[in-house]
Amino acid sequence: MNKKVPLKKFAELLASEAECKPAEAQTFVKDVFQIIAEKVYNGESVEIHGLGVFSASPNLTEPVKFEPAVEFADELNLPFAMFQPIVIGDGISVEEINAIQSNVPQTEEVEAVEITEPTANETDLSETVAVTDCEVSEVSDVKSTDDTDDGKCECDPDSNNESKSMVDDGNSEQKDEEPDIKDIDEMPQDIEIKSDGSCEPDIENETKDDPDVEETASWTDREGETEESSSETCTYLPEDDEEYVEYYDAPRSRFGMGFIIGLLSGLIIGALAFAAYAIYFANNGQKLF
Amino acid sequence: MIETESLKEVLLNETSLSEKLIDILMEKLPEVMLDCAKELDAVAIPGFGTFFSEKQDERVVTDKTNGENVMLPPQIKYGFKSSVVLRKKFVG
Repeated sequence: MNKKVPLKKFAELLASEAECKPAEAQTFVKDVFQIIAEKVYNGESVEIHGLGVFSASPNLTEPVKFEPAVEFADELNLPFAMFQPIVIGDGISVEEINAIQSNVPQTEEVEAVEITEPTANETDLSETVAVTDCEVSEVSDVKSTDDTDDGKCECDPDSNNESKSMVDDGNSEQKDEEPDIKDIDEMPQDIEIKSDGSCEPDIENETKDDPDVEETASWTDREGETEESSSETCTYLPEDDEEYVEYYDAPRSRFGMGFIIGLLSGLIIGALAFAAYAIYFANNGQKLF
Repeated sequence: MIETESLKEVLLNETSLSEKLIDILMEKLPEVMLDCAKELDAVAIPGFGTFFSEKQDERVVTDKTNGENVMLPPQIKYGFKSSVVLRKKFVG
């Protein structure tokens, strides 16, 4: 890779391909390019099939011009054959593309900072992630009521599932689900409009005073209001609670029961074996130990 | 323009190599050079010059005729640089 192949080495490679002596291959290469140099010097062009065309150039710094053959260039660029030139949209400049490419790692860092150190608005975001199943379903209901400006219901069952999976996976999924979280984050602002402004003070108090204590109350307040408002316009889609119960509780109880049963059965078998051992030696009149 | 067949005849007259061997070597010469080029290795021919291959990454160019920005795919360019001996021969 990126090394210079001298004539001797090149002749050896050529000889191994042509199954001849390296000396013959070296002579051949020397003579071929000597003849080409003479012909080009006389103003003629020389074509080697599969390699390219040598021609004279008026440029004295580069007197011999070499044009590789099409098949040679195609074969050389075969690894990139699947790529095609792409016309970039009019609204995007080269500087913007370079800026986007250079800012890709920085945006990832910013995302990480947003998650670890939430601001006032993002405190709501983390709270929405930590809410229970019912509350998440309420969030989707609120969103649906916000969309019902025309009086039509646009409840989306998929939005329930997305929110549910987000809560289920916890913080590890938080980064991946960020677009959805942002949608939820916009929710309290919409509540200010739709729920007669009653939720606005609660949200501000949560973020400023003590979010741990007051967030539950505020969310439960919101639940009632949003349920009332949403029940008029759209139907409530119940969620399955089975997933949450099975994953966390069932394996522990099974393990404990199995451990106790195994321990008891081991003790019983041991006691029976010892009893059989003792009876055997008692019947034979020997000492037990 | 001198074609490959004409070059073979010249080689046959000026060297002691057999016609069959010249045919084989002339056929294998581009293949071996292509193998070196794929490895991005340069082939140096004393008294003539150096054949080199150079990889260009993908890049954005502007079409001056219509002002469109086009992203070109990566490619390997194959080129030739004359040796000093050859340049001096041409300059005289």
